[in-house]
Amino acid sequence: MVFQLGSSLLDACVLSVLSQSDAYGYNLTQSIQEVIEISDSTMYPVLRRLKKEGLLITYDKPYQGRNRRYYQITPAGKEKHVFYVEQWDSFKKRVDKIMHGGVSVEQD
Amino acid sequence: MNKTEFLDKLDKSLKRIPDKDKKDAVAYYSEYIDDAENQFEVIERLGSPSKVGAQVMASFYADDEDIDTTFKKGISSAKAIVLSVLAAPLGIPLAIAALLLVFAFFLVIVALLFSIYAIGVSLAVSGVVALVAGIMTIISSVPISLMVIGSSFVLLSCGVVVFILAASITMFIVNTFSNFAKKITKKDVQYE
Repeated sequence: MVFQLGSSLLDACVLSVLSQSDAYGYNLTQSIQEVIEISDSTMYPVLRRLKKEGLLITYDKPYQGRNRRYYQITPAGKEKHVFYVEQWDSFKKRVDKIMHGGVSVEQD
Repeated sequence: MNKTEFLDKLDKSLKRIPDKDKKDAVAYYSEYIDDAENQFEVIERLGSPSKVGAQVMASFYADDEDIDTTFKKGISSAKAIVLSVLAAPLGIPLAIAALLLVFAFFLVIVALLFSIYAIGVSLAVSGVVALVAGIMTIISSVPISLMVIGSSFVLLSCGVVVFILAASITMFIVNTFSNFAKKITKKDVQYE
């Protein structure tokens, strides 16, 4: 893979997935790994930061006799998600324009 | 590597972060490994526990807020005051000892210089005495007198050389010291 997700884009992806349903560490990582190559240890710092910024909260649910920590998007997180989607659409359009030959140097 | 080994190494690799955050990180990866379909495969994918730990620590210190709260929680000002008061009985005598050591070193240098001067002076003085004695024996024996006078010149010149040596050492020390003093008092030297 040539292009990589910067940290904001990673945040945006996480919020996007969580905006659809709650998730726990492993299945959240898996869902993003379906689309983008990230290492298994990438997610934890991201989740920690998003929690600190108040964009998600955690809750515990027992599963098969042990604990499972779930991540849930907050109202602030939902707002940020909407913002990220707008930013991404605009960014995507601009990059597409250049990539698909829409921008060239003026000829003398 | 099995799960226990991985988590143990991960825990050991986490340094300089609060215990609560350490526990959180280890718990996250414990669950992560449990939730995977194949434990050994995921442990292999995760790679070295110390690298995973380094990622955790890096993210911890990337956020400036975390550093502030760590310091605020870790060392409150009251604790800092108590610590410095307790350290004083050891710290102050140590500082005094260091200063005295420097002073003693300085005294040794001065004493050495002084003795070199003394050698030079005594050589020169004995040269003068020998010269006088030599001149006086010219009446009794010319060869002996000549020899004594010759030796006196040797003594005198040695004395002068040693004296000059001591003087140049002194100049060297004085110059080095004044250059050093200039350097530490004038930090921004203007190029002329």
